[in-house]
Amino acid sequence: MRLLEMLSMGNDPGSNKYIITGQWDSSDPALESLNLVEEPSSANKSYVTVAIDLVIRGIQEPVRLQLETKVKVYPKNERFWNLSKRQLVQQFYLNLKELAASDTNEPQFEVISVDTSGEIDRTNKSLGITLSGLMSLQLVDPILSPKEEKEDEFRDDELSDNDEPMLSGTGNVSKDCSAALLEQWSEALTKWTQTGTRPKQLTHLVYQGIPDALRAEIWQRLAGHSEDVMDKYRVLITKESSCESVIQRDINRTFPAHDFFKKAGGLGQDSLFRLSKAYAVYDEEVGYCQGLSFLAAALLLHMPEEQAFCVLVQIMYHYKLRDLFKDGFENLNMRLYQLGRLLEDQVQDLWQHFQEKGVEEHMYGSQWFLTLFTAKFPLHLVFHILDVFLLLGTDTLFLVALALLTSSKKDLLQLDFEGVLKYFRVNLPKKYRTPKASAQLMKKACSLNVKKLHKYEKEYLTLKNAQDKADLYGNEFERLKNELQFSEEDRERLRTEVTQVKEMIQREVQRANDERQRNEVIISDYKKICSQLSQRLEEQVQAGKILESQERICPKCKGISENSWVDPLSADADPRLAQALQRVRELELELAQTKLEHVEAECRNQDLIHQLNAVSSELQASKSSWLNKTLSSFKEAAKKDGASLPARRESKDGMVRDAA
Amino acid sequence: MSESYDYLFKFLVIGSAGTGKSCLLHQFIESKFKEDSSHTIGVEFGSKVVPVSGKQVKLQIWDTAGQERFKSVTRSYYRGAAGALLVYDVTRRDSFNALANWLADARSLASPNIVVLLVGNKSDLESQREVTFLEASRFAQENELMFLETSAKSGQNVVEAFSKCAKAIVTKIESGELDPDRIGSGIQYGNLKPTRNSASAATGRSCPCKV
Repeated sequence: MRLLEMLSMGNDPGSNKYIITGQWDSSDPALESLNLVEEPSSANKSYVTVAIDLVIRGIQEPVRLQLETKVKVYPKNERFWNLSKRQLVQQFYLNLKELAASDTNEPQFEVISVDTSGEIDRTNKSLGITLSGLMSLQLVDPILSPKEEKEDEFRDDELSDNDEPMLSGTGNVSKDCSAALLEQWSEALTKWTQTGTRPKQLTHLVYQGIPDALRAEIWQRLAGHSEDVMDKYRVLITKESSCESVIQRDINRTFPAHDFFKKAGGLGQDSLFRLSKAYAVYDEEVGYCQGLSFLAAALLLHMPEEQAFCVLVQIMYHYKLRDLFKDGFENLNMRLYQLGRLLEDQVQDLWQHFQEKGVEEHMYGSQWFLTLFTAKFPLHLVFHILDVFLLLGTDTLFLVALALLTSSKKDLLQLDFEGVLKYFRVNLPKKYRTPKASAQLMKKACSLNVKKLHKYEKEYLTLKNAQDKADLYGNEFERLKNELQFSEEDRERLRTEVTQVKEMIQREVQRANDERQRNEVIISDYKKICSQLSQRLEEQVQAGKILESQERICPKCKGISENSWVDPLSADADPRLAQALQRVRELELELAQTKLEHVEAECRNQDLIHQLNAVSSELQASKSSWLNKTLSSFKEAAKKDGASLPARRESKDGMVRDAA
Repeated sequence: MSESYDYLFKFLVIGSAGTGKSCLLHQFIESKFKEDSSHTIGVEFGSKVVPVSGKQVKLQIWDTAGQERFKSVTRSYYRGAAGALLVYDVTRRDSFNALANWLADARSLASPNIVVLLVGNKSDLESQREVTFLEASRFAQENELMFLETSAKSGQNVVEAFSKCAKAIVTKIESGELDPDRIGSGIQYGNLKPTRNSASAATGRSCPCKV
């Protein structure tokens, strides 16, 4: 028997607990035998006895309380993990006999026997002890102190009828486990280690929930992990992440009801921060996503950061939970569709009720799936769900969801829209406050059949495909409609242009005609003038001839005529005549020009008519080419989809009708 | 449900992560501050009947997750919302800077007519304030929003925020600016819809089709 180096002793302020904290040196020779431990399995076989001597007023002799417990010894390089400590609660009963009154007024007692309630706890509890440096023994578990438990129970009872939702991270996790069950587990584990594959009986055992003491190990075994990732973790935590502030904000909002995560800057929050940040750095595509911290916290309640990180990575990648967070939650939508179909097929009346009340799967299912049910439910249920999830994978989501819905069917059927949603938020998590209720739920979940999930997945994909196609056709339709409108506008534009050109040409033709008529009048005038002039000339010539003949008859006049006779056409002869002649010449010139202009105008007219014809034929051509184009694009679109669905055919018909 | 009301409005609470949206809703519905609140995944739902200008108005409130990436999940809840509380944290400028985005989302995804009330939450943390009342008022004015500073912790202005927003909607209905019968208006008549004569009111309440 070694005396512990006493660290502290005294009343816990704020409660009526008396706390004794002790530690002893692992290099103490008395503990030598424990230091030889090599295999973790043999560590389980170690027992220690802790004795506490209490001096109690009224009892003369010190009272010795003995605790005998199995211990787990970790290798020196293993980080001691606060969380793997197991609570050991023992009650002691003192059988006292009152002694005859002595000098003092106080009664004196003698201890007859010390009994312990050990039977409940003795065999099932192991106390985590490390020899790496310090060994600390606390009667009071730091994670869930009895005081807290009592408080929780009290609070829960008080709240059971009001509307307050249950706090995230509440619930006691039972450490009880019967010896028989432990025996089965140990058998299974041995077999597992030997064969390297999951033993047959494992399924059955996990369905009942993994004993809390074994969770850390079994979870890791089920998840399977690579050393590689664990090494990476040490590097990852040193890296910076862009979402640090976001993570920090969420950390003190994760499992706020749990002592381990309660304190800002405490051990729990620190680990959770590092773990969340490391994951955000590790998985660049998903990064940090709200919801993950609940899962991470649930893991951290069982194992050290590195190991929790490995399991988290496995859950995200190997179990494909990260798919839910990718591509705008596309995969989540599919999962919710599957859930809806399961409900429709297996819990018809509830499905019908939800349909009538407008309750959709995403209103309650999103949170369930994205956090693996970790956010709202009591921890014993959360852990049990994780047990089964790590064994079965994604199907667990549906098993549990379906079990939850089926179990609460009666209640839900009575409620309206708001009532249903409130039930999911408040009543449902509260319903599983007792481990018994939650065990029943899981039993039910494990007995359900979700074999049709694959079929639903296919269905969803087909629907999605059809939807996408419909969207595609819708877009195509929209595009064609726009094109049609554009073409119509174009046609309208061309039409007005043609009208304008026609008008212009008509005006031009009119003008040319007018000009021609005018010219014709002028020409006829000229012709008249010309003929008049030639007539006058004729007369003059005639007169001249007469004069000549008279000359011959009259010698007197001979001289006159010789001197004075001038050609009547010569300018000197008669200025009026000369003028007239000049005029005639000018007119003749003008006539020639006008004729020329007339010809030119005719030519231009001809040209414009040609132009008109050309534009008309162009218009005709453009009309027919647009029609061809539109028709051919319709045909093409139709052809693209040879194996058409009825839905699509409808939409196509619709389009053609619309386009028509 | 046994509660009777004249109108039912669909409400949204939106804003960046950690601005206290869930706490506002909790304070509004339970008149209590949620000390150990956990962050919202997806959406949460709550409802309450409030008296507004002599009418009983039931608010169906969707409390949305603040993280940007959840928008694709919360999007479907925007549709047909009549009112929204746009929340920022007076102690965090980044949450104020993000308001324009949230507002654009609300107006495009819900409806351009959505009645939005700007809420500067955590007004009890005066010493850590980063956004002044004046600055936020200006933002509200520029964007035609109503504005209140609240404290989900002390409860200050919390009920007022929801009531004020509801009141604005009632006013708009009565002035004819909002048509409750329009599909996607986010407004429904309740079981107290005025009946033509009081004699039929009793039957009308249990079965609106007889009105």
